[in-house]
Amino acid sequence: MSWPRIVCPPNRSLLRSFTERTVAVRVAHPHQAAQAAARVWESGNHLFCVIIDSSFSLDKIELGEDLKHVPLAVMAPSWGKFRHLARRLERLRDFNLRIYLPGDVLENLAGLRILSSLGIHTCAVLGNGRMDWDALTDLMTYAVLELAPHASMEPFSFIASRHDPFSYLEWGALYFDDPKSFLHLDAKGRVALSAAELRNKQFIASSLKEIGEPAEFPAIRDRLQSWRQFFVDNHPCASCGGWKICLGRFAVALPENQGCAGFFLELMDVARQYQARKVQAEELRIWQP
Amino acid sequence: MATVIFKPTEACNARCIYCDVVQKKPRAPVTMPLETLELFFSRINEFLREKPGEEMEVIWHGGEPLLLGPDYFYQAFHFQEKHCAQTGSRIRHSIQSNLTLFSREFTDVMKKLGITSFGTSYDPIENLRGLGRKRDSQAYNRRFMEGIRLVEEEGFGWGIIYVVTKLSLAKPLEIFRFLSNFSPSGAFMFNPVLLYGRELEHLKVTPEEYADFLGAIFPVWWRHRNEFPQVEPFSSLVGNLLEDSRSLMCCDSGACAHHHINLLADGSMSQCGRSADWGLLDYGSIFDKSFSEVLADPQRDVLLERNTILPETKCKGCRFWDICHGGCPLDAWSASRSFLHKSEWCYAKKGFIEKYFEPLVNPCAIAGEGWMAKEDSPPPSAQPRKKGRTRKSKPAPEKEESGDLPWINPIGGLGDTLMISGVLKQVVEKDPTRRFNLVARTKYRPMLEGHPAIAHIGHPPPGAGFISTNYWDHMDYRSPGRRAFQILARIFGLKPVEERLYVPWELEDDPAFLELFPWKSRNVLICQSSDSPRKQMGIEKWEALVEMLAGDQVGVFQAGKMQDRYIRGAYSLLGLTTPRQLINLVRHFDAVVTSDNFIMHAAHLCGTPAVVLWGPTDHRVYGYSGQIHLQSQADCEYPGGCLGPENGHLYQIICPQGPAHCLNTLPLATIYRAVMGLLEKP
Repeated sequence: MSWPRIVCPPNRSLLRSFTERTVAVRVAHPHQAAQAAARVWESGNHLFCVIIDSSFSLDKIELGEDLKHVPLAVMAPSWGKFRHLARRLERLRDFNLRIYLPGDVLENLAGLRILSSLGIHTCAVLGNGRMDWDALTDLMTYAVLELAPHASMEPFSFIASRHDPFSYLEWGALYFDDPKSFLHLDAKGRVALSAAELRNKQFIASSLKEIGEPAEFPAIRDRLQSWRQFFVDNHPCASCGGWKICLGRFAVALPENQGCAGFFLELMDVARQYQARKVQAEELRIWQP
Repeated sequence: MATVIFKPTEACNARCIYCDVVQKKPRAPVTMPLETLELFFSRINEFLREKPGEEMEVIWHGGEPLLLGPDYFYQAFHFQEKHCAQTGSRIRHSIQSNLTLFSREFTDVMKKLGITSFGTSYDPIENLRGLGRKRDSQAYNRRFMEGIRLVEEEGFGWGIIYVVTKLSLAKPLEIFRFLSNFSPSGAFMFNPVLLYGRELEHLKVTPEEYADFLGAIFPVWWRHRNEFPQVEPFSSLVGNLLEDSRSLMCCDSGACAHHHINLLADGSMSQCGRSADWGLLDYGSIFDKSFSEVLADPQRDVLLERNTILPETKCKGCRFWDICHGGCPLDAWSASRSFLHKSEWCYAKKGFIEKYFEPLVNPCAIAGEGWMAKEDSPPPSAQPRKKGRTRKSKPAPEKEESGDLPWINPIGGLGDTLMISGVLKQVVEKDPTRRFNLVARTKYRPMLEGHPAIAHIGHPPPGAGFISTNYWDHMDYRSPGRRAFQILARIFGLKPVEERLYVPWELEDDPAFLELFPWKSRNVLICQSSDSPRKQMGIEKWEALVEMLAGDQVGVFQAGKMQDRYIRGAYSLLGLTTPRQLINLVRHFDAVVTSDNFIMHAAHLCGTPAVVLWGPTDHRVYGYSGQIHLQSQADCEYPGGCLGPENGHLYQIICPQGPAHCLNTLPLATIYRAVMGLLEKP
């Protein structure tokens, strides 16, 4: 296991406490983003991206010209008013960014589709799973199978292109929530396994130095193996057809299946179609000898 | 291969409810002493030296073999090194363990013994498997999962045996999903619980129940079988019935008498675990007898007699004899106290196949052409057709109703479609009531629309039964020279047939084409095109050929796709014709020069003489008699051609030899002479 990337605030002294790491810095406002990126570069680390974790709707997020070459993950609670956003769409396309919107708001699903159709890369945040799974299925089908040109929409594109029936697919890294790919630090350098655990101050180490070899660190190792507990407990998720791409991520929020199984089964089917389409692309031609 | 089921200990840390080992009074010694272990390897060496062509499989069994500890296995390895210096390479070890005791200390010695995978077993249902006298299934599950994790981390594979009990019957799909989720790239196997003489009514299953359990899972497995690991008995049945890749377990092989020896900790030998438990087929002790003597023991004769007696008695006329052989002799003995009966689990296999397997996998069987109409099947007298019986379980569809008809999912190139069309024509000629649905796919529809065998073209409903035309995945395809057309015919239940192609429309001329073309007195159609770059001869060579033909006043026309490279000097029809138009046109030419492609098939259909240029594919598989086949010899790592079985992934990849690839080695003069030979024929 290679060293996970670091997600941390753009605290100068924190960034200087380690070097040669790949870092995603999290800021609350777009105007902090350019400075945050600069601090990463100054610290001798590599910038993975700047996460703009905004409490404002997308239409109110203004990205400056100085961010054009900075990889951005823009997280907004909603996409706001289209008439406001429309003026910025042309410019948004110029940025190296992915827009994250919660998938549990129907308007956001429409927004994700529109943004994608306009060539802007997006990601639906599935959160706790309390969402309209049918609407999400429609969006997913659009994202993966629609032939009209559109930008990628995660997690669907990621899953469809990487689904392998003979192995599990972990896609938490799309949300920076996979300790194999990301560890989260607070301003004091304390380490958490996910953004939610960071917020709840559930730390696994007081600093990165304690981690040593990540694959051998008990908390990381246990988290990476935590899926096995579903089988020990004979949890219903362990017998679900969608397990290989869900891995029980809604087991706590949705103790009784409320649509997630159907959605993930559908997603597997769509992934099959997507992969078959790639293989059989020649069929799009009229005929071949 | 001789097989020793080696039970060096009958001790076990678990108390699985259905296990015989923990129920019976332990024999002494519980664990095989090292002296006996050493003798065991000495006996193996003796056997392998006597039989230089033989191998021996040692299946570590128990009890729980990991209870022996790593040192015991090191001792075994040491004895093997000591006694089998010359024969050790012919010893194969495997192991069956519950894995709850696995630790990294076992890794080295397991690898030294050549063990790469563990056979294990598991049941998510509580209180069936468990540790200690209290049968603690929670603790068992935790330790089992830990064992699996370690085994994976240490680079071993593993597979699961799942024992089907009455408690499983209510949730077959749940269990199947659990196992396939848990073991996405491993393998698992369903076995019915065997409770000989034990009062565990709440666990017992009947053969019918077991067949229904499998039947509930089978459609799900079958539909996405390429996405599941090896699942038994399904994978073997498909191999045995559809692909001729005969793979029979000991209980079905009818041959266990030749190979199997059960060895217990005290050195006593028997046929297998159950015969030892029941005091049957006692072959004596390892202290007194060599393995050769044990394998020649006259008590084994009765097991072999089954193979001659059962086909004339209990199994007479059974079309599944070849894959069953009456089942396990010990099962038979358990029910009837005689080995000369079939297994009481007969229905589990037969019922499953007839009720669930055949209707889904081989609708041809229902329509009257089962796989038992194969060339290698027993004569009809010994094998009454089950037509009526299978129809009873699922009525044959009415002629014009498309609802229950099997769906043909056509794949491959247009040449393949012409072959499918030809096969289907012969299917309906043989049985005018047979019809199929065709999955609507842009490429194939125009070729098969209106075909007398096709009732409907559309989109299959969920649960539809499919016939796939991917003959290249068929086992026969691996035999050199097995013809694609005949494999397709066999997929549709036909015996070897005449290779006639067919199109479901009247061949008509398009006046526009005929009038506009600059016909000469002799005209040749050439086609360089193929989906595979490996099947395309170099353009320069084609141009040289065209120049030579033009010098002889031969009109040369080039057919192909819009994006094909134009061959200078030819009259280009690239992208101007539909496949139907092209077939109509082919018959107007005096000869066709082509690679292995659609035009080659079309020429055969129209009776137009053809020179076919073969490189990475084999003319014996695809070419037609009457055509001139110029086969180049591959000078590369694929002497039989790189586009044979198992090499599908190379199809669209350019040959690394570049312009020197095999098809380009065909001498131009040879091609030219062959074409002129055709043109000069009266």
